[in-house]
Amino acid sequence: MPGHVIITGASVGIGAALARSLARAGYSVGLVARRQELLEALTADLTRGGAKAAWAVADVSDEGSMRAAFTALEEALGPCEVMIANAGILSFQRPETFDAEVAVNILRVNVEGAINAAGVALPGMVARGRGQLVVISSSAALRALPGWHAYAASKSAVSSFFRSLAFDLADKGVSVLVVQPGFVATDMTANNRFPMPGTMQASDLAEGIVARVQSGRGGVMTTPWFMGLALGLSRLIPGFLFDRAARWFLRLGETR
Amino acid sequence: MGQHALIVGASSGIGAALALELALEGYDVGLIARRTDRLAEVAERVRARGGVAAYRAADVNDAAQLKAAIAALEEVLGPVEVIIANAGIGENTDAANLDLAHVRRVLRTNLEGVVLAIGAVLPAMTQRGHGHIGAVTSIAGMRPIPMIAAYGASKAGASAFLEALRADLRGSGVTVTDLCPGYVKTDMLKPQESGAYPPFTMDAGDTARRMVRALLAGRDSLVFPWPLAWMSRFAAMLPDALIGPLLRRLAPKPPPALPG
Ligand SMILES: NC(=O)c1ccc[n+]([C@@H]2O[C@H](COP(=O)([O-])OP(=O)(O)OC[C@H]3O[C@@H](n4cnc5c(N)ncnc54)[C@H](OP(=O)(O)O)[C@@H]3O)[C@@H](O)[C@H]2O)c1
Ligand SMILES: NC(=O)c1ccc[n+]([C@@H]2O[C@H](COP(=O)([O-])OP(=O)(O)OC[C@H]3O[C@@H](n4cnc5c(N)ncnc54)[C@H](OP(=O)(O)O)[C@@H]3O)[C@@H](O)[C@H]2O)c1
Repeated sequence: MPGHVIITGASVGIGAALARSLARAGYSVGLVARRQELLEALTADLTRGGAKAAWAVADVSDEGSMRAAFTALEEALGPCEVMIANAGILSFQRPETFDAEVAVNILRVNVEGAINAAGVALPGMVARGRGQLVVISSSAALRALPGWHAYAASKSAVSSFFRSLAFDLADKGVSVLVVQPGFVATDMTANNRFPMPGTMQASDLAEGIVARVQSGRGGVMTTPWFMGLALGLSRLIPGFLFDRAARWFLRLGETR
Repeated sequence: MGQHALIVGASSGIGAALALELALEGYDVGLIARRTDRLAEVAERVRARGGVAAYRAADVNDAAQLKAAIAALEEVLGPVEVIIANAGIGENTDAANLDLAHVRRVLRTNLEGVVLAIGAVLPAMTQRGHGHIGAVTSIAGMRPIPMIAAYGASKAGASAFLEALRADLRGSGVTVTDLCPGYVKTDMLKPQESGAYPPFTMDAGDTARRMVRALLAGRDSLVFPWPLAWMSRFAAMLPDALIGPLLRRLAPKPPPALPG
């Protein structure tokens, strides 16, 4: 029987979609985010559908807060077998008006937040000799685009951290899955004015991730595949051409 | 009077060597790190060679302190024309007993520290329309490897940060250079048990000389020495599943557990 999955950033977007897919697949789902009303409503909805669900409010960037939520959810739903570190934030900046505080906040939530989630779940998983860590990174980890400074840095760091961890945990029975989605239609991307090729629905992405989680296989999952290919191949284009093209592309729509 | 070149993490190793090198290039050097006594020594060495140096103590983990130190140095030496964010710590990550305080220490020094240091001078520099930005990353950030999850992540993140910034600033007069070395003989690099250093270990002086040349030439990046650079580029293209077993075999063995 599928066990207990904890999802951070489960109040909306990809996290909420994951919760629905996992509940449908028979998992008990523990939901973590800051907005309590949204978590309550989703939990009620899932429970009505016959699933086991519980919520706990936490700011993932605060280790103590994340730990307390984790403990509460394990008490409610049993040992956490899968931890999905999904909570994340995005904003763009211009160098002329760069605000380091904004950048640091992105790093705290996206990098430290994801590692806090893994860190509180790992001791139990290692002790039991089984478990799955899943992190929702981004294709932005593959190539840093103009204006995406802190977000690109955060996702590069997160992908690197968890891929490295996968080597170290291989003989501990803990698998690590690093998901690098392209564009997904959620609140996060709702204000983007530039074209977003290959935009996915959160529910479709969630179905794909859940299938992979069920297989138990770790590794890197970049989806859609052509996003990974395009960003990988972008390194063959000389920087002065690529950077100007990327700047032009990201400004499309600004004048509309 | 020369222009202001600011080195963050200037009290030892590569940073101290960068200070001497930039002073030789005619820059007045601003020095920041935590150890005041070591900063004073570096400043003294710069002055002994006829250069100009000023220093302030700050911890890059403390945003307000770092900002104040940079502002104080700008008052003495003028607006920052060259910045190298070099402060960093090397610590191994024990994944099975993950210590979150260790992860924070490494990320906040090596990644946030870079963002804070560069962020403090970036708006003014871009508005002036000229300058050189650099940060010392590491070949260890080019592809994930075992045992250094936090260090590797911090360096991969710093390189990505520079890449995005460069994309914004290309053609603006402000250049952004990723200074990405292999092994360098400094306090950070512990020799192996035999007393030998890893293959292709470089000397801090040579390292700094090449870094300063690349930075002032406005190159996108300097990944060196070349044998390690190409090995890492190649390894970065191979999937983790293929490279995992190989890397685990190459990695140094943990010290044997103490008896009793
Ligand atoms: N949308 C895309 O195109 C896209 C592409 C690639 C990767 N991703 C990644 O996918 C993940 C989910 O993004 P999304 O598109 O679903 O965005 P979203 O709709 O904005 O949802 C973000 C979620 O993270 C939570 N969150 C943010 N900061 C938090 C904090 N400090 N503590 C706890 N929870 C926090 C939010 O909940 P509260 O506000 O209630 O706390 C929310 O549930 C992110 O890591 C994102 O980087 C998204
Ligand atoms: N040595 C290598 O093999 C190697 C290889 C690749 C990359 N690197 C990178 O090169 C850079 C310099 O390292 P190094 O080899 O020259 O080692 P090092 O001699 O230990 O120098 C590290 C410098 O960073 C400063 N620093 C560390 N933490 C700081 C903090 N919280 N606030 C302010 N300053 C801080 C130190 O000054 P205080 O202690 O006085 O604060 C010192 O000046 C690092 O970023 C390192 O990751 C080194």
